[in-house]
Amino acid sequence: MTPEDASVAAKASTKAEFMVGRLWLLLPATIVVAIFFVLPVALTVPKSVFRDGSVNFDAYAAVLGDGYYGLVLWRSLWLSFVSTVVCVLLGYPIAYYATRLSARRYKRYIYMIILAPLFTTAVTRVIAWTMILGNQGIINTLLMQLGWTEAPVRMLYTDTAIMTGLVYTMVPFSVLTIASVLENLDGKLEEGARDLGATPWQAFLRVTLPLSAPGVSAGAILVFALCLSAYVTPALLGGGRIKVMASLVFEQFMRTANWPLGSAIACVLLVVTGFVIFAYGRVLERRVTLGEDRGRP
Amino acid sequence: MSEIGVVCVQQVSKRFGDVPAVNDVSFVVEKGEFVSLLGPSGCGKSTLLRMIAGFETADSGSILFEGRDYTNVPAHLRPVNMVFQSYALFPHLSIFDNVAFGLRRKKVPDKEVTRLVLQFLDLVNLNDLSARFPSQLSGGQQQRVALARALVNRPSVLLLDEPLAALDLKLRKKMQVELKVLQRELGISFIYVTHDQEEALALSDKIGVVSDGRMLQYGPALEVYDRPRSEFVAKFLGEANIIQCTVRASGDWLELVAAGNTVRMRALAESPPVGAKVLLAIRPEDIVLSATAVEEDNVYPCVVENKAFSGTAPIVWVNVDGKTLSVRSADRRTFDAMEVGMPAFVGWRSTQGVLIPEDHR
Amino acid sequence: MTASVAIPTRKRRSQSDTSGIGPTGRMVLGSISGLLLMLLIAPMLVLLLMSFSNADFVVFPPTAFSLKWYYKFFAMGDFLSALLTSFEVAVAASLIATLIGLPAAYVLVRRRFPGRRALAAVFLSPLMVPQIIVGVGLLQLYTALGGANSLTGLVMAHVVAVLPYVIRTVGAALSTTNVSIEEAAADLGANQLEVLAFVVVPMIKGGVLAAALFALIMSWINVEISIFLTTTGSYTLPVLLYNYMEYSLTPVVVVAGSVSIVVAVALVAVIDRFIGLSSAMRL
Repeated sequence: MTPEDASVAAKASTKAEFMVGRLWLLLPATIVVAIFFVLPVALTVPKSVFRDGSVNFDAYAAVLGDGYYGLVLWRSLWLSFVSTVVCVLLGYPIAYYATRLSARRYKRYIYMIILAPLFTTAVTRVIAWTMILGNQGIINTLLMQLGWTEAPVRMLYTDTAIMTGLVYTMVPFSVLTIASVLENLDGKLEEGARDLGATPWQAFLRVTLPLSAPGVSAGAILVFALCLSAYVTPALLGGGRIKVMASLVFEQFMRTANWPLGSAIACVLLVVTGFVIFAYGRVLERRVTLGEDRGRP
Repeated sequence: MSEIGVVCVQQVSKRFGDVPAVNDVSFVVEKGEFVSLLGPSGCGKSTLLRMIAGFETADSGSILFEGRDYTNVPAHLRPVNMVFQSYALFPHLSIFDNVAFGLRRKKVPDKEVTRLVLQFLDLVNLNDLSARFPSQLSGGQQQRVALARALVNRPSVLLLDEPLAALDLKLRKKMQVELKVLQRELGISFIYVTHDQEEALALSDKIGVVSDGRMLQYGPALEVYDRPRSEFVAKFLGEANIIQCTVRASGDWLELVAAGNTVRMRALAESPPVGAKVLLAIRPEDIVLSATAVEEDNVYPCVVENKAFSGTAPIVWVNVDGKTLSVRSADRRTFDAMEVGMPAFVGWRSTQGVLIPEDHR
Repeated sequence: MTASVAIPTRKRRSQSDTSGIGPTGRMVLGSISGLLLMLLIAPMLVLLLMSFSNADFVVFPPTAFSLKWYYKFFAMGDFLSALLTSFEVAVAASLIATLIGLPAAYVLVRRRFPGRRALAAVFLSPLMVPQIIVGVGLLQLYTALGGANSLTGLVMAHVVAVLPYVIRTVGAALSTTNVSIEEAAADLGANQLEVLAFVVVPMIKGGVLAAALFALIMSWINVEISIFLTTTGSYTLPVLLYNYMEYSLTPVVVVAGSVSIVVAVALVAVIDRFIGLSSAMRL
């Protein structure tokens, strides 16, 4: 043994030091996330009640008292819910086809097509849909040229427009989560069911669907949470008239400059989203217990 | 600071969750010794080795190298090197760079690096392959690279985790010899983990038998073989016939009774008291078998139950008053003469056989 | 009389097809899926198409085609500067996120320690916590600290927003390598940084690159956080587009949108080249 070895043995002599030595690589990321993420999010709460140095619950009184906010919350939940359902209904067939029925080489291109919208800004998607749904947009132009209507049909700035935009944004998520669930599902189970006499449809209904349900619900919950937090899409596609929680927050901060009120609304949104995330975590645990998810973090 | 061997493991324990993987293990490896940690799969021997290497931390106990406490020192600062079961060669580096890796970490000058790398590649007979990459080499060649890569750093002790497990039988036997020769030449202590007891016996100066996280016995190879101290060790290292007996008489001679038969044994340093229940372990190769009476201290008539041929040591099973004993000998004539159902005689000297305490479950 | 049982004939199918759906069923499902996929692409294609329109207003169908609006787009100062800002921020955020995310992912995947799961959840939570809340929070934090419109502040905000993607992608790449190789490196005297630099990164090169590119795109398209932290002169492209869209849809905006799409598609293709999209998108 060399003299260096001897001094080395003298160092790192406690288990605590040993652990620190192994974990310090985490430090930069931890500090950054703590300052630029945890701190601001945590600040939302105090900021909603501190005004000019004193505790003030006015904002909450406004939010919880005024029926308007309740309406907006309800609309946010409803729009998100419907969008989520549509996403799952559209996503499942695509995912099923991609995972079970498509030839291996096409799978890649299908994934690329599905992913492409995800890699564009929300605004770009809104631009595209505005061109499609607008009064001078594609659909209206077509309808009028075909003579099916005389005046343009109002499609933009409606609940439907918002939901269309949300669905368009979220279908990729939905397809990918369902696809990953289906990939992990053992195809032998379906085969076994058919071997026992079930038709393909029955096999699907009785075996694939129930087994994929927990994973699909986890994906749906994720989509729901994302829909709730969206504000660019609803703000632009809903125009100034239709508001969701997130766009209210945006307004208070960027237009009205009523930060405490904005924080209060943000808090409510945070709490609601928190519930949703919690539910997601629980469903995810169930997946692991059911052996579906091979323990991916 | 005491000079307790090259590696001193003191009362080391580790648990994974609720399961104790290593349970209060202690042993010492001296300079230049070839030590094997022998045990069945999952017994904790690999965990023990990894703790010595520094990849796992001990929950309690200490690990000393040449008397200095390295228990909490991270792996990269320990004076040991390891050969992994999967070889773990760096796929993106050439053989030369693989072997040079450790030296470069220590900032050894380039000229010296080249000299040492080529020297050790030569030592393991891989001179011409330094420019190749691991994926281009066979399993046996990769193994040698792993060896060279570890040894070039002149560690005080080399750790080997079942390094020959992936090789076929013939290659394995060849490598065993090479390893032993290498170890002798370099004078480095080896700690070798294996589940193959033949391998352990062939290579080691000392053997440690591990089971369920405990070190059941540790000592010179022949001693552990000739004098096992537990049923598990007797059965795991070599083969053993285990006979349950009661002590009838103690003193100059030990008299044991089993199923109505008397066994005479030479007295031991510590003889068990009269009436005690003990286990007698006698190795199949120590028993003599013959169709006619044998001249031994202990002789018993028996009936041949079965026999199986093996090139080096054919085995015959006989039944002595309801107890089946296995007998191995190289004597072809006796083996050929034995027929199933035939009466015969078995016997052994009073100096043979070992008394062991019953295993507590 | 014995009943006859129809034995389904096995035609050549993709390996994973265990559904037993007959050719008609597959055609139906295929058509539906095909249709839906087309609906997914269609808006993007429409956008691209319309960007070449010659008209002065956004009118469908386009009657003449030209690159007129592209020239105008690249001539407009505010669009160009937004483009530049987006680029600077994205590159910076991607580099920083990869630099801190790589070691973090390494420790999270390779080491066990109390609180590991919780810490991992915190690192990944920007994906689930509404971006608007993060944006608003940072606005308040920065304002309290002196200035809400600094480029650095924006970059750091993007770093935490894209960090989950880096950690996920690197984590996935790490799960494909052999831990023993890293242990061997440590055994030979390499400290953690050396193991990372000399052994791990070379082995997961593709994954690291994919992670950086992922971070790049996600920062490039971010509007939800950027909108709170930028002001006139420091807009990123998405924010500028948003401001324009609040008023009306003009051809220049359409061009801006289609530039955005082209960049996105190019990055997707590159990521696929390096790590394969299916593994990169494990949700």
